[in-house]
Amino acid sequence: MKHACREVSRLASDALERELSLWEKLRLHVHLLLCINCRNYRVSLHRLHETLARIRAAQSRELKLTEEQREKLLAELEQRLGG
Amino acid sequence: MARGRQTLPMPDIRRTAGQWLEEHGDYLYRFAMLRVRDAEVALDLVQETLLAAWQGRESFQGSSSLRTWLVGILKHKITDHIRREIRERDLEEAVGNDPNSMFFKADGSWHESLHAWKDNPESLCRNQQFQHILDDCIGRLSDKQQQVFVLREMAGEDTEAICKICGITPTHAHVLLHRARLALRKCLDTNWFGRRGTRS
Repeated sequence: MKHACREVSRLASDALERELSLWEKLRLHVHLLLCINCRNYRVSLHRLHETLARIRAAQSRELKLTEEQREKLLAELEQRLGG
Repeated sequence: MARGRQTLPMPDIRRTAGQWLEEHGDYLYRFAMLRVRDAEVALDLVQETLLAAWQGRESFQGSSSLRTWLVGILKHKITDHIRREIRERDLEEAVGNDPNSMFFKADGSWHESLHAWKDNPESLCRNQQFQHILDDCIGRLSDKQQQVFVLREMAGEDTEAICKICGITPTHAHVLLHRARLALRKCLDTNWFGRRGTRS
């Protein structure tokens, strides 16, 4: 199959974004059976995807305004609204 | 009543905005940070949001929660910001400049053999050093790839939302994500997975 890995890498990425068609799934999985590079690529994408989801969850818990940022924001707002 | 509103003394502005900030500030800041990844920009967007909310406070019906209303305003501000970035920095990727050629031979097979990554997401997400390298690798993506990738993987938006924010088609969004992932895998492989002797 010509251009197989190039196409399959795109399908592996798209699979994270949308439901693949039956034909696309078949093409992806048949190729994965035959190609260690694409299997490893797909695993990398999934690891990256999951790692980022975990980082996002952690940031959602931890990211906060500092007192300093809060004060600055209020002071500037007051100035803009009151001026 | 209307007259009273118009002449609201300063302390009320401070009290109301201060209360919004107290109750929703962290949430709004986080929402912006996950999408723009720049503390200064995120703060500005929160400020613009509170300003617009104050000026439009009479249009708040109370049919949705205050937070939903504020987030709705913030979403518009973020979209404006991102679209302006795209316009100003001309983030269009040249069509002829297909980065795929860096990764694949003319026959469509991989240029190099790819090995399996051994580290698992549970440990990676807690590793500051890895996160530093990840940030660096994301920073090296083309501007437009970065924009779409951050919305997707850092903020967790779906294709529909990304297209709305960036003003692009779903196919375009998917091409950019695909290219971003190719480049990121390579960058992380070189700077993290490869050098730590995890090759199999």
